[in-house]
Amino acid sequence: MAIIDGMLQELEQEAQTTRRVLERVPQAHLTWKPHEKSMSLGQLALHIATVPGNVAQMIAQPSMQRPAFVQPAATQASELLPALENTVKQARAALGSMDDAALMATWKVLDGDREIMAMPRIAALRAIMLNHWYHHRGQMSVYLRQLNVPVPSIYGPSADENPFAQPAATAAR
Amino acid sequence: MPLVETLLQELEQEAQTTRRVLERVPEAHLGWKPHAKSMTLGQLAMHIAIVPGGVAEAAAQPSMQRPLFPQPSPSSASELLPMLDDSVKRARKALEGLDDSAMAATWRILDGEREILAMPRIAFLRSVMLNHWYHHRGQLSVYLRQLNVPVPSIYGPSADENPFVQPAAAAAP
Repeated sequence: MAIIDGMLQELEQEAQTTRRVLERVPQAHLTWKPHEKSMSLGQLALHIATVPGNVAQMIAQPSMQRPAFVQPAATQASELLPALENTVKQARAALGSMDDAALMATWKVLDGDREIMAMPRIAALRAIMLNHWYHHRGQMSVYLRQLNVPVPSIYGPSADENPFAQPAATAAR
Repeated sequence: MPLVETLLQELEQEAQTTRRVLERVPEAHLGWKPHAKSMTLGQLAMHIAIVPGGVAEAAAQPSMQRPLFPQPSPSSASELLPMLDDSVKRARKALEGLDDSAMAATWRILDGEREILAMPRIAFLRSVMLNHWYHHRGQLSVYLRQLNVPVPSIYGPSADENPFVQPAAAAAP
């Protein structure tokens, strides 16, 4: 199996979990933020819904210019699931045929002509397309909790949902 | 390179970032939580500090019993960095030397003798030792923000620290 196939499988599996989180984002609180320096709920949710495709498209190129880190906000919670589906498709289209040699090749972030970061393409995908995505989904779970939205199971039980519960115990409640 | 070595290298690299987050956990607020159903700051920080070693030791066995998910809290924030260092060492000790066939072998969670989860050992380590760890570190970044602790750069800029900033801009006030 090509290395990229393993990453894309992980992306699609984790996207199912991300879907369970994004579908609970409450329309009424899109501008809520836990602190004045934080992203709003709508910014964080749209970021999560667009990271994989955007990152994959950047990393499929030989290099990119230093990003500006603008964070647009979702204006409708109903945008989020279509955006997520689209971003996963974009990631697959950008990366699907990449061979192992292309994944091991160096990818760069530049500021004009000056190199500010260089790493193997696979390391950039692992850190920015995937690990950074899980990081923000974790943040989202804290937002949802404070908005009194039931938090889905992500990797294990949340305070609301426990996939490890014994069936007998579940039936008893 | 053996598959396990790739995971351990990622673990050790991400642990440096985790260290920058855990070292800012404020002693005075270990009992704080953002919501009645949330883990306290102390519980969350200790969970992050001990996940890699605990998960690696469980994954090195053929199976484990259904976990109880106790979430202890440290008695002092000063325990966190030594716990993290120890956790990363224990993960390396438990896993290094596992060959690719051991990584591909099926690992199980049991409830008594009943199987409740089965997956390749490498998939469990990827999901629970690593991705789940980033998830909780993301949560902790929201806790720190709400406690007015400056948030370090994790994958990109935080509202307080921007590793992508141009040197000229950084020198200006």
